[in-house]
Amino acid sequence: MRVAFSFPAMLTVLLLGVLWILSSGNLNDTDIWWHLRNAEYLFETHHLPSQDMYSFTVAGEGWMNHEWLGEIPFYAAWRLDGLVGITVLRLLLVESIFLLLLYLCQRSSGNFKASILACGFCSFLGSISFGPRMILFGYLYMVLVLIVLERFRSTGKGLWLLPPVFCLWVNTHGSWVLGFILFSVTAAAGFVDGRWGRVESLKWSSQQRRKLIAAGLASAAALFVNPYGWRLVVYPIQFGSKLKVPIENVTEWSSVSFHDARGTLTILLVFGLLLVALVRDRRWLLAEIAALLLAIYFGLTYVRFLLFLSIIAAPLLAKLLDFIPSYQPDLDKPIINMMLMVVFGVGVVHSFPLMSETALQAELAREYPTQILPYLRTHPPAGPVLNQFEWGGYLIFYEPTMKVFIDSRVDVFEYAGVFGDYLDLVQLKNPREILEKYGIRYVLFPPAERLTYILEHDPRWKVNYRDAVSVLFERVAFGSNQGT
Amino acid sequence: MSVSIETIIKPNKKLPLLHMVFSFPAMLTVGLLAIVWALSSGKANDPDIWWHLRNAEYLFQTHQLPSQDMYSFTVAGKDWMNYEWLAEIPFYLAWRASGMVGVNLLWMLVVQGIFVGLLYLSYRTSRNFKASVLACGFCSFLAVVSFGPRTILFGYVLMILLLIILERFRSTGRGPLWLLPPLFCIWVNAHGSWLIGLIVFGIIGAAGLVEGRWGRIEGLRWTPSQFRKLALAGVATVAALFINPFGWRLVIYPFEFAAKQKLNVAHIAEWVSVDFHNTRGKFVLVLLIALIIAAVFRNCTWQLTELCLLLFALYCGLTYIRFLFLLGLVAAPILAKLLDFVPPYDPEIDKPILNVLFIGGLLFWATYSYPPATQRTLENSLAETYPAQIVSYLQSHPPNGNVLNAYLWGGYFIWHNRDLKVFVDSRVDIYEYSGVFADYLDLAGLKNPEQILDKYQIRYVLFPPDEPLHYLLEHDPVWKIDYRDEVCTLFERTEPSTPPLTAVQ
Repeated sequence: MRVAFSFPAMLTVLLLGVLWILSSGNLNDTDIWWHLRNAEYLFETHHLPSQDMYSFTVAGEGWMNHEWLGEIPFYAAWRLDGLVGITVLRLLLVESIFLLLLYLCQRSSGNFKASILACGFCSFLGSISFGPRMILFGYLYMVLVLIVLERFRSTGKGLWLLPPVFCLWVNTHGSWVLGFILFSVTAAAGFVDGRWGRVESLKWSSQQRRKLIAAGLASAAALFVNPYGWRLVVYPIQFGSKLKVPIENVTEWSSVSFHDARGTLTILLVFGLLLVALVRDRRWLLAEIAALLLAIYFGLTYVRFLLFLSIIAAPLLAKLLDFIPSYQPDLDKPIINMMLMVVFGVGVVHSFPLMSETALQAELAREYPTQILPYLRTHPPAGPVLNQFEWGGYLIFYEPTMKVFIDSRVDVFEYAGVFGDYLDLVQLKNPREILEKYGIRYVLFPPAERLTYILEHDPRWKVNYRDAVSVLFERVAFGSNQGT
Repeated sequence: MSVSIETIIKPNKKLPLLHMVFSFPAMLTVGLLAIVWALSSGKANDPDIWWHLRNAEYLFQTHQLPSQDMYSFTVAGKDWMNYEWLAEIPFYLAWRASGMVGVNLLWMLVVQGIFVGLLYLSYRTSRNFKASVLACGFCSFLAVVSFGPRTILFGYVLMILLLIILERFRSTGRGPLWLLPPLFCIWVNAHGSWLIGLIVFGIIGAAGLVEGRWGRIEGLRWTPSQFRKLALAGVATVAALFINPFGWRLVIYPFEFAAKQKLNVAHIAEWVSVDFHNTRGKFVLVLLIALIIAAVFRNCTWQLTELCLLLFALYCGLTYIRFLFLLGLVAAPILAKLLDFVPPYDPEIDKPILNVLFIGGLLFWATYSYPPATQRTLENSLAETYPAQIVSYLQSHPPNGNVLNAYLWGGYFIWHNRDLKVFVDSRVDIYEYSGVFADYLDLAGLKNPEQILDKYQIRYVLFPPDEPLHYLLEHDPVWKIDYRDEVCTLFERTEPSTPPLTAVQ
C-alpha cells in the first residue's frame, strides 16, 4: 500500500496522465485502415497478401506486407471493440513504451524524479508518433533492446532476449534496422578502452565480447525467420535507397520545422544537451554519445524519428539532471500522494475522456469521406475512381468493393510510377493526360484542392455528390479533345 | 592590439613583401576566397534587386525618397517606407558604372570582404590561421543562402565589423567603441538586420556582467571603466538609430515586421526553417554534431559571450534559413578555436615556390571554372527565370488593363518595364498590410480565383507555365493567350468580368 501511494508512484501516474492527454483524440492515421484490411484477410484466409488486392492502378503487382505482425493486435482490438479498441491499444502501447523508458532512465540515473522529468519532456517530443501506428511496436522493442543492453552492461546477463525481440521486430516494423544499429554501436563502443575529454569507453571483457558476438549473430539469423525471407530483411534498405518521392513528399518524412512547438522543443533539447555537456562535469559513455548523435541526425532529418530521439535522449537527460534531489522515502506522505493521484487521474479522465465509438466516428468524419459511403454503396462507381492519397486506406477498409487509385502503401505505388503521377495530378501538371492514362471516370477529392476547383469548372465533369469533406465528380464526356 | 598579416606569418620578424605575398597563409586565403567565389557564381538572381535599383534611380533623379507606392496598381499611392534606401545606392552606382556586371561584381566583392573580415576575426580569436581558414571555409557553405545582389549583405558587413570591434574591446580592454554609433546609423538606413546587431551587442554587453566558471564555461566581468564605455556606446548607438529619413518609424520597422508580417514569414522561401534533406541542412547538422562532439570530447574553455552568441545564432539559423549567414559569422571563430589541434603555421617550413604554384592554380581554377559573368551571360541567366523575352512584346503591345503578374517577377517589371504597373512584387510589407498578398496566395492556390481576378479587374495574367493558375486559364474559354515563351505566358481576358468592376485603389 505504501509503495502504491508513494511519491514515485504519484509521479508515475502524473507521467501516464500526460501521455494520456497527448494521445487523446489522435486517431487520424492514413495507414491503419489498410493494416486492418490486411489482418482481416489473414484471419479469413490464413494467408498473407503477396500482391496488391486493393487498387486498380497496381492490381496484381507483387507486394510484401512488411508489417503483418503489428497488424494483428490492432485488428484484434478492432474486433473486440471497434475504434475504441484501437484507441485503447494505441494508448496502452504509448504508456508501455514510456513506462519501460522510465524504468531505463531510473536504471541509468538512479534518480526517479530526474527520470520522470526527462520522460515527461521527451513525451512531448515523441508525441508525433502517438497515433494507431505499427511503429509504436518498433519503439517498444527499441526500449526493450536498450534495457537488455543496459542490464548486460551492468550485470553481464540477459542478451538471450535479443534474438526473439529482433525476430518479432522484423515482422512488425522496418525500424528494426535502427535497433540493430543501436546494438552494433553499443557493442562496437566496448571494443575500445579510453577516455577523451568527458567521454569514456569501457572495454567488454572477453566473455562479454563472446556473448555479444553470439547474440548479434543469433539476432541477425532471427531476422530471417519471417514469411518473406531475405526480401523482408533488405526491405528497409531498399526503402531508403529507392523510395525518394515519398521521402520528399510525405509529411512524416520531412525535417523538423522549427516554427512550431515541436521544433522549439527540439531546439531546447539540443541546446540543453550542449549546455549540460559544457557545464556538468560528468562522464558520458562513448556508446551513449554515438547513439545520441545518430538519434539527433534521424530526429532532425525526419520528424517521424523524434520519438527515437526521445527514447535515446531521455536516459541521458535523466543522468544529466542528477542535481535534482533524489527520492527520500522517509519524507514521503502517502496520503497526500494518494489525493494527488486521485485528483490528477480523475481530472485527466474527466477532461480527456476515452472517446466513444460515436465520438471517434464523428472525429473521423471530419477528415475522411465518411458521409459518402452510403452513397457509394447505393451508387457504385461504374469506372475507375481517382481518390485522394490520404483516403485510400479508409476506402479500402470501409468500402472493400471499391478499388482505389492510391493509398498510403507508397512503396508499390512509387515503383509503378503511380505516386509520381498522383503528385503531378494534384500539382496540375498535365492532369488531363494522366486522367486519360488511367481511364479515370470518377474523382473523389476534398473541396479545397486545386484539382477539385479545376474539375468544378470543367464542363466535361459533373458533380455527383458533395458534402463538407468530399466531392465526387463524374466525367460526362470522354476523349482528350472534348470540352474546354 | 591589432594583428597584421606580418604577425600572422611571423610575429617578431619582418619578412620580405614577396615572401609574405606568397606565404602559406596567403595561399590559404586565396583558397578560401576561391571557394567563396565559386559558391557565389551564378547567383545573380534576386527578386528584390530590381525595385531597389528603381528606388535608387528615383532618389538620384528627384533627390527624394519615395514615400508611397509608385510601382503597382493594387496599392498605388499607399504609404510605403524605403527602409533599405542607403544600401540601394552602391548597387545603383554599380549598375550605372557597368550594368548588371557592375551589380554582380559589387555583391561578390562585398561577400569576399565579409569573409576576409571573418577570417581576421577567426584568427584573432583562435591565433591559428589554418584552423581559421578551415572554419571560414566550412561556414561559407552555410552563408551561401544569402549570396546574391542583396542589401542584407551590407548588414553582414556591418555585423562583422561590430564583432571585430567588440572582440578587440573584450580582448584588449580598448577598441574603437566610438565607431558603433556611426556603424549603427549606417546600418539602420541600410537594412533591418541592425536589430540583430543590437541584440548581438546586448548579448556581449550582458555576458560581461557576470563573472565565474561553470564547468567549461567562463564568464569575465567588464571592469567598471569598460562597462561605462559600453553603456555610453550603447546609449549613443540607440540614439544614432534615429538619424534616418523616417525617424522612429524606421526604428520600429523590424518589430512591426515580426509582429505583423505573418504571411511573409509563412510563405517566403528564405523564412522557412532548415531542411536537413538538402546540402545546406547537412552542413548545419554537421555543425551541430561537431559542436556537441567538441563539448564532450575537448577540454576547451568556452567564453560565456561566445556560447550565448552561438545559441542565439543557432536559434535564428535553424528557424529561418536567411540567418544561416549570421550563424556562419558567429560559428566560424568558435570553430577555429575548437580546431586548435590543427598545427599552427610554421614559417620555417614554408615553400613560397609551392605557394605560388598553388595560388596560380587556384586563381586559374576559380576564373576558368567560374569565369566572371559578362552582361550577355547575366542576361541569359536572368532570362531563364525572368520573363525577359516578353518585355519587348509588352513595349510594342502595352496592356490595356490591369495585369496580374507572378510574385517573383514584380520587381523585374518595375525595373525593366516602367509603364507597367504590377499587381505584386517582393516588397511584401505593403502588399500584406493591404491584403493583396493574401489574395495573391489564394489566387496561386486556386482559392476563389475568379472572384479575386474580378475584384482587381484583372484583364491580363502573366504567369509561368508550371503554375496551377496557368493551367486553369489555359483551359478557360474566357481567357486567350496573347503571348507565350518558355518562361511565361500572357493571358488576356476575352470577356468582361462578371460582377460590376470595382476599383481597389
